[in-house]
Amino acid sequence: MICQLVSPEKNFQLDDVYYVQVPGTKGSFGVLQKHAPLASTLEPGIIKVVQTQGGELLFNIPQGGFIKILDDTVTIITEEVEQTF
Amino acid sequence: MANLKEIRTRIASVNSTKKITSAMKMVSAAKLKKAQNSLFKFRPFYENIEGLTNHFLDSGKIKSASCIGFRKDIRNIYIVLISSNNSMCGAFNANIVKKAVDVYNKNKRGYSKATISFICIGKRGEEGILRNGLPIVKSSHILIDKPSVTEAKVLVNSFIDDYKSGKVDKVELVFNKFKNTATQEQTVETLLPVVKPLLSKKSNIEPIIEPDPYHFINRLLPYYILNRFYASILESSTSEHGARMTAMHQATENASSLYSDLVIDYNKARQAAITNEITEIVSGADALKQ
Repeated sequence: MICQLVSPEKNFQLDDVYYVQVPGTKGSFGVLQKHAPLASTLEPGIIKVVQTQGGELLFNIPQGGFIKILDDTVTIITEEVEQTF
Repeated sequence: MANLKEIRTRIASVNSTKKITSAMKMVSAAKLKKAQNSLFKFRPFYENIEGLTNHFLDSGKIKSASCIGFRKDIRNIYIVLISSNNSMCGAFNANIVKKAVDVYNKNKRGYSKATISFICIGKRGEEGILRNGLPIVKSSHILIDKPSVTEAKVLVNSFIDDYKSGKVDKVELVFNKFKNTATQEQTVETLLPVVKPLLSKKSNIEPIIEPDPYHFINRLLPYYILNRFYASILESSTSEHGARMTAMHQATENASSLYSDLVIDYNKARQAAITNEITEIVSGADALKQ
C-alpha cells in the first residue's frame, strides 16, 4: 500500500505501508491494505503510518483535510503537514 | 551622416537603456525562480484536490449540492481576468485582454439576455478592458504581487456568496497558464458552477463517503474552488515573470546590436572627419607651394 501526504508546501510519499491511522470527522479510524474506496474529511490531529518493515511515522495536520483511498493508495490532502516522528 | 556629437549621445543613451533592461532581466529571473518553485510545489497538491472532486462528482452520490451544474437560466456572468500590475512583459497583457474580449463576445452570443461584467485582477488588464469600453464590477490588484491564500479566500467567498444568492450564474476565469519561460497559454476555465469533467474514468465501485455525502461535498467544494482560483493566480504570476524575463532578454539583445551599429557609424564618421582634415591640410600646403 502506498501512502501520500500532499500539501502546498511539502509532499511525502511512503511506499510499503502496512497501516495508516487518521483522525476522521466521525472519529479516528485505521486503514489496512486493500481497503474499499473511501473518502472522508479529516479533523486536525495526528496521522500514524506503520510501514511493512515495522517503522512507525507520525505526521501532524493542524488544519485537517481530506483522505482518499483508491486502488490501494491512501492520499491525504491537507493545507499543512509536518512530520513529528 | 549625423555628426560625431549626436552619435556619441545616442551611444550613451542606448548603453544606459541596455543596462536597465539587463538589470530588469536579472530581477525577473530571480522572481521567476521563486514563483516557479511555489507553483511546482502547488501543482501536485491541486491536481490531487481536482482528482478527488472529479472522482466524487462522478460517483452519483452527490447530486444536490448548490454549486454543481449549470442553471437553466443564465442572467449574470462574471469574467475574472487575471493579468499583471506592471508592463514591460511583451504581449503578456495584450494577449490575455484579447482572450477576455473573445470570451465576452462568445458569452454575449451564447446568452443574449445575460449581463456580462468583468472582475479585474491586475491593473494592466483593467486598463485594457476600460479601453474596450466593457463594464467592470470589481478590481483587486494586491493578489498579483503577493499571492496569498487569505486574500484569495475573501474573493472566492464573495463569488460563492454571489452565486448562492443568485447575483451571478456563471463565473469564468481567464488567465495565462505557465508552460515554460518563453510560452504562456491563454486559458479559460469555468470556476462556478463546478462542472463534471467530460472525459473521466467511471469507477466501478461506489466509494464510501464519510461523514456523509452532504457534509463532505460542502467542505470539499469551497476548498476546491478556492484552490482552483489560487492555482490560476500562481500560474499567471509565474507566467508574468517568465514573459518579462524573455521580453527584457530580447530588449537587451536589441540594445546590444543597436550599440554595435552605432559604434560602427561613429567610427566611420570619425574617419571621414579625419580624412576631410588631411585633405584640407594637403591642399592648403599645395596651394602654398605654388
